[in-house]
Amino acid sequence: MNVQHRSWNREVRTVHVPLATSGAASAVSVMVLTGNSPLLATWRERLPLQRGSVDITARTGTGRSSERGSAGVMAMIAVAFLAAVTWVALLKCDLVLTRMRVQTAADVAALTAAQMGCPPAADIARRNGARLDSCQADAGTLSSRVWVCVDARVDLPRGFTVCAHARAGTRMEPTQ
Amino acid sequence: MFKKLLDDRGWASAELALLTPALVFLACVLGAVVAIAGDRAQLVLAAHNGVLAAMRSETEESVRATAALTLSSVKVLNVHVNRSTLGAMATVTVCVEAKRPLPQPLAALAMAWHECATSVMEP
Repeated sequence: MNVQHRSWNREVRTVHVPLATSGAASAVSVMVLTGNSPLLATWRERLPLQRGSVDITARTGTGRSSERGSAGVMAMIAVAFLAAVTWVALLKCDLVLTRMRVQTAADVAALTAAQMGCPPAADIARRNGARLDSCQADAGTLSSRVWVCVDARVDLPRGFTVCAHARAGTRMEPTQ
Repeated sequence: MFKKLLDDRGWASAELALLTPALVFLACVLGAVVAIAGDRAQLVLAAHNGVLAAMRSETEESVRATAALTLSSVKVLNVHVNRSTLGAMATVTVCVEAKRPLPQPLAALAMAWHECATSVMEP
């Protein structure tokens, strides 16, 4: 059986179909010969026998038909990649903002501890949304100043912990 | 070569048609995220500076001016200074509220953000 078929811009000049008929269906091997290439594809499929031409456009894999759907796959991959980049950017911005808030809490807690001691500093850190981890007053190194070091932290929902460290000093009256 | 390009012409057009709106949309999302993060970082600094000014027992106008000076690209809506006591302590809380001004078609989308900072006052 010879079939004339035009597939997009390639004209299939000859479709040679050796048939081994068996009832209503046949095992069909099709060799697609084009004008320039001696052999583009080999197609084997069970088909019901029909008179006339056979539509092989979607089966021979030539032209645009073999690339159908690839744009959607690439678009999905690109959108997934960009969504991941956006998620990382959101997480980074969240961490930066939390870091600034914790640093503010640590600074204010350190100033409070330098004035009034560590217990009020813990309360001030809590009111600024952080937790005071450690507060150490060091009054022995300098006779006229007391230095405090505080560590504050915030536990984020995704398992991250943001910490900040602050140091402050205040002038003390010299003892007689 | 040119024949191959012509064969792929439809595929490339479809790919561009799908990818371009997604790329533009995600670029807008990323830009908005960065802008919002920058605005909120300014607010945190403004509240921090405001509460430091309040700790120096400055007037409320001075505290507001100090907080507003920190904000360069956002519009200050309100600076609230609240002095209270917590046990034996006198505390001050400075809350700053601001939003980024947007051009008229997008003005309704502008969101207001606020940040607070609390510290103790000079006795």
